[in-house]
Parts: sequence; C-alpha cells; structure tokens
Amino acid sequence: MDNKTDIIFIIDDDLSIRKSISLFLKAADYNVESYPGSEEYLAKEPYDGTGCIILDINLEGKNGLELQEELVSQASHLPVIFITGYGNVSMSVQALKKGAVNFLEKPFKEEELLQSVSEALALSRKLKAEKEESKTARILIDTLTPREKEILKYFLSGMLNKQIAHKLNIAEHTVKLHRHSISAKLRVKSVPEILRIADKAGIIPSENKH
Amino acid sequence: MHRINCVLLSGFLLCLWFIPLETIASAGEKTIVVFLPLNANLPAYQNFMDGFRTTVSAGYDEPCNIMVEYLDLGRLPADVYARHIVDLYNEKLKQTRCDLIITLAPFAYPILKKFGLEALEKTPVITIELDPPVEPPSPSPANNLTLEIKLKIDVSKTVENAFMLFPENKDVYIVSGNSVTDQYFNSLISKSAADLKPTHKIIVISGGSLDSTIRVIRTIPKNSIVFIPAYLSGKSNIPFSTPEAIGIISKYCNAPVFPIFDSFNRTNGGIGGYVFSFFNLGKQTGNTAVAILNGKKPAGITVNAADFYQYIYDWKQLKRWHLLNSALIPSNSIFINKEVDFFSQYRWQILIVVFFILSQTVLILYLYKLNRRQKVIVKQQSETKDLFLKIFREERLLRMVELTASLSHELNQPLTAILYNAQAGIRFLKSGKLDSRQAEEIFGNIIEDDKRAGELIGSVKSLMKLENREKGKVNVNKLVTETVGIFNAEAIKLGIHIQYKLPADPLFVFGDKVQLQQVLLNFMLNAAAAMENTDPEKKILEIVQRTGKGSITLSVRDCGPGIDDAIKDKIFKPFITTKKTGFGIGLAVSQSIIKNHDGEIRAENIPGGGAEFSFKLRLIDNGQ
Repeated sequence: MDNKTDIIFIIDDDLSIRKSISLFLKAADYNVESYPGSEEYLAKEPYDGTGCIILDINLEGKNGLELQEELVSQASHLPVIFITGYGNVSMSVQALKKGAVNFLEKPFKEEELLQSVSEALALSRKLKAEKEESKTARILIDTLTPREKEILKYFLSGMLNKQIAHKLNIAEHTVKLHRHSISAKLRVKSVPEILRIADKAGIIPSENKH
Repeated sequence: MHRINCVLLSGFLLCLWFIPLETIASAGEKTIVVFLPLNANLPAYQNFMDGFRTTVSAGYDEPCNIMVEYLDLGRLPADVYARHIVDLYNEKLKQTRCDLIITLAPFAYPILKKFGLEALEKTPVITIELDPPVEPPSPSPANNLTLEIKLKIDVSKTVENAFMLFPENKDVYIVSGNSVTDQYFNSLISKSAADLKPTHKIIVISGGSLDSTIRVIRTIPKNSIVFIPAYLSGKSNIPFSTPEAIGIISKYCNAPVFPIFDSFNRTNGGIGGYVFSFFNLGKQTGNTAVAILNGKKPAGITVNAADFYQYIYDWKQLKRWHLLNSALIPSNSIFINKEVDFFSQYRWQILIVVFFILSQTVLILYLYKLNRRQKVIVKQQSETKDLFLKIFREERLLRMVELTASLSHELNQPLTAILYNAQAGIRFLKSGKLDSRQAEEIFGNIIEDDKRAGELIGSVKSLMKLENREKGKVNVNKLVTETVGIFNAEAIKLGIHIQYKLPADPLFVFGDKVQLQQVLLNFMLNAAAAMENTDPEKKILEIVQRTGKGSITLSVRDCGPGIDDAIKDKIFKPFITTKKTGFGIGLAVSQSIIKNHDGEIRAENIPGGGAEFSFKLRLIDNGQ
C-alpha cells in the first residue's frame, strides 16, 4: 500500500490521546508521528511528503486554530483534521472554512477517523501533485529569457502576434521566432499547452491594451 | 389521740374565756349610768351619746361601762309612771355598781329627784337642764356631788342667720310638735324672730296631725322662712322625732326649712345654720365625766356653754338654694350630706387607675402588635430561609450541571483513549501483527486511562459531599498549625519554606474544621505548584491572618508567577488548571466550602509577584 509513504502527525497535549490514536493508526498501517504542542511540531524538520495533521484545538501555547492558519499561509499540502473535547459550532465553522477536512468531537468513532484520514491523505496527494506540477512549470518558465517571458504574458492575455509586434515595436516575424523558442524551451508544441504550463507556474497575463 | 386534742382545745378556750374576765375585774373599771328622759329614738340623744362616748373612751384609760336608761317621759308623763320607774331604777342600781350618773334635759333630773332615786344622794351626778327650765323650777342639786350644766338655748343667732341667708323672704313659719318642750322652743323662735324682724309675719303651725300639717305646709309661699325647732310629739302625744318631721315637712315645703338642733343631720331637708350641737354637748359632758371619774370634785368644774353651738349645713340643701358658694357660709362649718364629687375626692386614685388601665391598654396593644409583627417576621424569616435554601439548592444544582458538563468533557479524554487503544489492539490482532510488547503497551494504556477516569469521578464526588456536615467552634491558630503539619513533609520535599505568625490570643470561627483544612491545604498545594520553577531561595509560602470588623481573613501567599490573566476570572470554576497534575477541581471545592460557611473566597495577584489566595469568615467570641 502507498500508506507507507504518508505520515500522519498527531498534535495533542493529552498523552493518552496521543498514545492511543497513534497506536490505532499504526495498527491501520499508517506512519504516525505525535507532538504535544504546536511549537514542538513547528520545530521539527520540515516534511515534504504527503500526509495529514490530526490537531487538537485546545492546545497550550499556540492553539489548533492558530496553527492551522499558519499552515494555510505556508501553503501546506498537509490537510488538517481537528479533534476536540470542547468543540463548539463557531470553532468548527472557522476550522472548516480554513480548509479543515473534518472536525471530530471526542470520543469520535474509528470509521469517522479513518474516513477523514483517507480523505485527508487523498487531498494531500492531490495538493502535493499540483504543487509539483507547478514547480516543474516554474522551472521550465525560468529557462525563458526576460523578453520571452514578456511575450508569453502577452500571449496569455490573448494578443495576436501582430498585435504583440506592434506593441513591442518589433517585426511580427521576430515574435514568431520567440514563440518557437518558448515552445522548445517548455517542451510543448501547441499554444494551449504553453498556456497551461504558464498558468500552473502562476504567470499573470499582461494587460491587453488596444 | 383525738381525745387529747379535744382536751387541749377545751383548755385553750377556757384560757381565752378567763383572760377578759380578769381584765374586766380590774380596779379602775367604772360604770356610768345615763338617764335620758324621752324615748330611745331621739336623734338628739344619739348625737349626744356619740359625742359622749367619743370623749369618754378617748379620755378615760380604764374600762368604762356606759349604761343608758330611757325614761320615756314624753309618752307617759303621769306621776304614777314616774314613781314606778324610779322604784325600778332604785332596785336596778342596788344590783349594779354606779360611779357616775348623768341626767339629760328636759326634766330627767327633777323627776328622778322628785321620786327619790337613791343613787343621786351618794353618787356624783352631772345634770343637764334647760335654762330657763321648761317647767316650773325643780329642786336644786342637794349635795356637792352634783354638777349642773345649764343649757341656755339662744336661738337669736340661729334665726338671724336664716334671715341673712334669705334676706328677701318675708313670712316666718314655725312648725312644731305638741309637747311642752316643743312649745318651749316655739316661743324662743317667735320671740327672736319678732325681735329681729318686727315687720315680718310670724305664723305658728302646731298641734295638728302630720297630715293636716302637711296640707298647711303646701300652701306656704316660696319667699318665706320655715323653722322647725322641735317636734317631739304629734297629736295625742304620739312620740315623734324632730329630724323625721323636718324630713317630711321639707319635702312638701317650697320655702327653706331651718332647724335649730344638730339632730337635723339624721335626715334630709333642713338647711342647717347656726345650730345647737348635741354632739358637742355630749363631748363636753364626756370630758367632765372623765374628770369626775379621775377623782375631781363635781362642784369645782365649770363648763363653757358657748361651745355647744356650731355652724352645720346640709350641703345638698345649700346647693338647692344656690348658697353653696355664698360668702355667708363660714368656712369652718360642718357640711353634712356632702355630695361626694367622686372625681375630686378620689382624684389621685382615679388618675392612678386610669393611668394604670391606659398603660395596660397601651402595653397590651403594644404586645399585640409586637406579637403580630413577630409572627410576620417569623413568617418572612421562614420564607426567606426557604427562598435562600431554594436558591442555594438551585445554585448548587447549577454548579452540578456545570460540573457534570465539565466532567463529561474531561472524561472524554480517557474514554477516547481507551477506545482507540482497544481498536488498535483489535486491528493488530486481526492483521496478525500483535506481539506481546504491543499488547502490553495497549493494556497498560487502557489501565492508566481507566484509572484516570476513576480519579476524575472520585474528585467530583468530593464536591457533591459538601453539605450538611456538623459545624463547631474552630480555633484558627490550630487550623493553621495542623494544616501546616499535614503539608510539612510535602513542603520539605519541594523545598518550600513556610512562614506564619500566630496571634497570642487565638481567634475563633464557626465552621467545619476538616473542610476548612481542606481549603487551606488546597491553597498551600496550589502555592507549592505555582513555585515549582521559582528560585529555591525564593520558595516562600506565607500564611497570614488579618482581622477586620468581626471577621478574619486567612490567606496563603506564594512567590510564583502569579495567576495567569487568561484564567483569572474563571479560576474557581471546575477543571480550570495550569498544573500538569490534577483536574482543576480544588479551588471549585474550596469555593463551595467557603460559600457554605457564608464566607468569601478570593484569588489575587500580589503587586510585585506571586499570588494570594484567601478566605474571609465571621469571627465568633471564644465563649460562644
């Protein structure tokens, strides 16, 4: 199973909860790491693989919701499953809005936990894949010269060769040459493929001024 | 036994019987015989005897018998009768000792003398006769044993007084009886009235029957003056009494009626005035008698006849004739028939009684009100108490609910842990990966979690057990020293220095000592935990007693970091803790205990570091 490559992080200040849940998930063939608090989790070596975080809301120091916010801002691909003993509606709404996979109130059922974990892991893989594609696209885009990047941005905004040439005050033929170069560097043949890579790399189209 | 009692009693009675006999037989005992010429019912004689007895019994120290003999000469004036009764008295006096004889007017002495009363010759005699006599001169006293008191009845002042009181009244009516004596006084009045008011008409009504007299009396004009001097016998010598006549006549008479003797006091109707007093005569005679009994010779005694007159008025009659406040009535007059103004006579008694009744009424009303108010208060009190109990119960219930909610949350931790340990076990088992090390770990975890759940429940139980324990007098010094004793071992282990001062005179509170120890110990444990990371030299726990107005505050101060602002407001709520051990239930329990003691519990940060936990309780007297 590909479970082996995922790591589930448990962050809870209650030792019994940490111990029991990690044991259970280990029994379900998951890799588990557990931490008593947000600070301890953040202090560890950054993890780049897929996985998820089972996070207690009521933590000493930085609490669960605060940690989630920080993870969101870091564009973490580790989805969060909240667990709590003192849950309330507003907390759960806030947590789910920020992208938490689930909000489980102790004592939650094993199916619920496993379901949430597998959802979270699937999401993690997807996020990880997207992240990787975007990374590849950015590497490819980075091979382009500044002029080529500029022309690419105009393409993205839907301008024709002629219009670009006019805009840059160069010959239409030169524009075509640049486009070929871009295709070659991005290792694609069609314009839609170029546009897809540029999109993944997060290139923002130039303003189309006529 | 019974017989002996009887004998004793008889003996005792006999003794009582003999004692007075002895006394009577004493040497000084004297007997006075008083001879009164007319019948016994005469009020004049009664007045005389009253006065006489008064002075004799007051003036003579030894026992004195007074024998009174009524000659009843008015009814039977014949000599034969007189002779017979004198014989009878002679016989009587032979049997009786006689030390003094008194004869009263009119003509008692002449008759007794005439018919030969032997005692008159050998016994001292006081004879009282009118002057001039009613009848021709009687034999004068025969020996020096006889003292003669001559009564000069001078009615002029009496008549003058009547005219003075009624200056407008013209005609003078004189109503009298038939007897010689009656006529004697009639003539005195007629003469006086004629002398004083020569122009006034003088009409004498006498000799008729009472009925006919009354018929005439009815016709007397209002502006007349009526005198009734004496009415000793009516028609056919029927004995009568002057006061009786005055009473009857005045009833039918429209004009004022005047008597001339004090005997009118025995009835109603006569106005009174300047009258001859038989009472005074009796008194004077009594004094004279005492002198003679004491050995003075009768011949050497003189009696002042002027003292016999006296102003006597019938108060009711004065009122009737509107003379009550007249300046003509001498202030030293004797007033008879005085209408007792009940209030003025018993003013103080009445005032006291009224005051007493009023004060009693006020007291009763006050007590009644007090009683009602007390009932209301008692009712209110019981209602308040009920309400308080209700609130207390409800508050307790609320705390229980709160506690239960907290407890259920808290219990979720070990329950969840147990569940997942077991699930893990099953999964390992199913996949055939369960080795003994893992199994041991799982079971170990489950046991620990279960224990934790059990402890949680146990700690909550202690909260529920708080109420209705016996309370008593608690010595605060002992409370402190004993709690310190319990905590001391822990303090040494943790390196904590405990400081406290005890007042020389211990203070007392009313409460449950064990519960209060629990609170204090809880404070000390919290303080110890708070100073876990404090420098070893600064690990000081201080117990302070502060007294306020009727209260004592006992506080535990630590040198830790103080109370976290985040939990400061809810520090007394259950399951709030910053400690790694325990469930945060200690302060909640403490609060319940102190509330149950009507006290206050506080948690504060000390400026400059550390926290202070305190409770305040009401002080009680040592003797209480």
